[in-house]
Amino acid sequence: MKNIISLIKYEIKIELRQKHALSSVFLFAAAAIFICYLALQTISSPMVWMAFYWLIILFASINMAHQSFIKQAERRFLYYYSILAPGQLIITKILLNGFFVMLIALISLLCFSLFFGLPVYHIAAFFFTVIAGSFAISSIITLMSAISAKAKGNAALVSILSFPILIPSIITILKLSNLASLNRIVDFSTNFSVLIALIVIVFMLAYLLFAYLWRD
Amino acid sequence: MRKNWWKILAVILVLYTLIAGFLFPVPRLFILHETIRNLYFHVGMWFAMMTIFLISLVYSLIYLNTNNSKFDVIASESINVGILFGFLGLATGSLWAKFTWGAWWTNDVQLNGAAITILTYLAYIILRNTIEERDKKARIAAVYNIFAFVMMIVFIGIWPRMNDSLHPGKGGNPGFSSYDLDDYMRMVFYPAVIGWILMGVWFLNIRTRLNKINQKLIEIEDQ
Repeated sequence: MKNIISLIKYEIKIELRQKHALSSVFLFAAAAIFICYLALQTISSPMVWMAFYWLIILFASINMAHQSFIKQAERRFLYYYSILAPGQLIITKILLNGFFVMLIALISLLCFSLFFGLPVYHIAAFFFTVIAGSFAISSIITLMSAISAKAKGNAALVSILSFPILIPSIITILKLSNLASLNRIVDFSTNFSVLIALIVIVFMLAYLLFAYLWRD
Repeated sequence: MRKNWWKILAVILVLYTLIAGFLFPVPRLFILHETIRNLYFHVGMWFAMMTIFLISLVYSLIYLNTNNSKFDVIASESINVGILFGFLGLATGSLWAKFTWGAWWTNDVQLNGAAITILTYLAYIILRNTIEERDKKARIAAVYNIFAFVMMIVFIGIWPRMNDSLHPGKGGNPGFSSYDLDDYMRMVFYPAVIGWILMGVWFLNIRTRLNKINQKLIEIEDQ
């Protein structure tokens, strides 16, 4: 457990210094938001607002996973593999990607509300949704990019593998976001626990299966 | 005969399902009327698919423990057969939906979950095609298979029960008790399920043997 925390801190320090992955994904998200603004000018209904926002976050996270896993140097990976158990390694990767996607989601939220406003009534609930949603999306995408990195795959393989499994998470996230934008919150806790359960399932599966994946 | 008795049993059961399924009396339920007969086919398809994916999971686990490629062949071929049954299940369900709900497809949790599992297993096939070396392909595919099976249980079994669904059997008790199965229906339903499962296993048997023959042919050609 201590290993995981120290490795995460080290990775965050490196990333904040070099900003390889984060900056390119920020640029992607910013460009996407600007194109949305040019195309739409205003978004009238909260449902459409949520749809566009989460679509941009989704594609940004796929970009992020591609950067962090597939583009990383082989030497660093061998170093990690020697000091950490494989289950711990994948958990650090997932937590790290989750943290980065959360950063990107929050800053894109800022940019998006700059252009289109924030049609959310319960802001706290929406923040919880954004944080949990970014962890859900990034955990699945990280696991799939681990599989596709082993398969010498391309970014297309990551998308193909992750999209079916992401669909229930996206549905739940959209449902939660729409509930947060309404005047009342009904069923927020049940849907939220569905999201947390999905995250936990992916964590556990990744922890158990990663050892077989990285055997050589 | 000793080795093939179950294939003859499969044919007899499926023929019995076809004939008795359409001729035996069924209870008259509101909206459903005669379309309740779809139960014998649609539910049978999904049972067969789940059984065959379970077989695939077991063989994937055995492969990860033993690294014998024979088990990987069975695992991958059973996913091919299972996807066929999945598509048939979706098709029978869609046909039924057109007559009872008035639409080929609806935005319903159970339907979405079923479509997602088919997509997940199709992604398995794409993953296998991406990797070249046989051992690496088998190992990575086996890991993804385990993941996909757990996700299937979540998407078909757990997730629809947590949300309201229009699909018969959900949004209330699971299973078929909401169909009000009576004794006549049970007489056709249980043999039907067994028949479809045996058919699926027969398809798997043929595909595995075909795969083995193809491998042998490739080996002979290389020599």
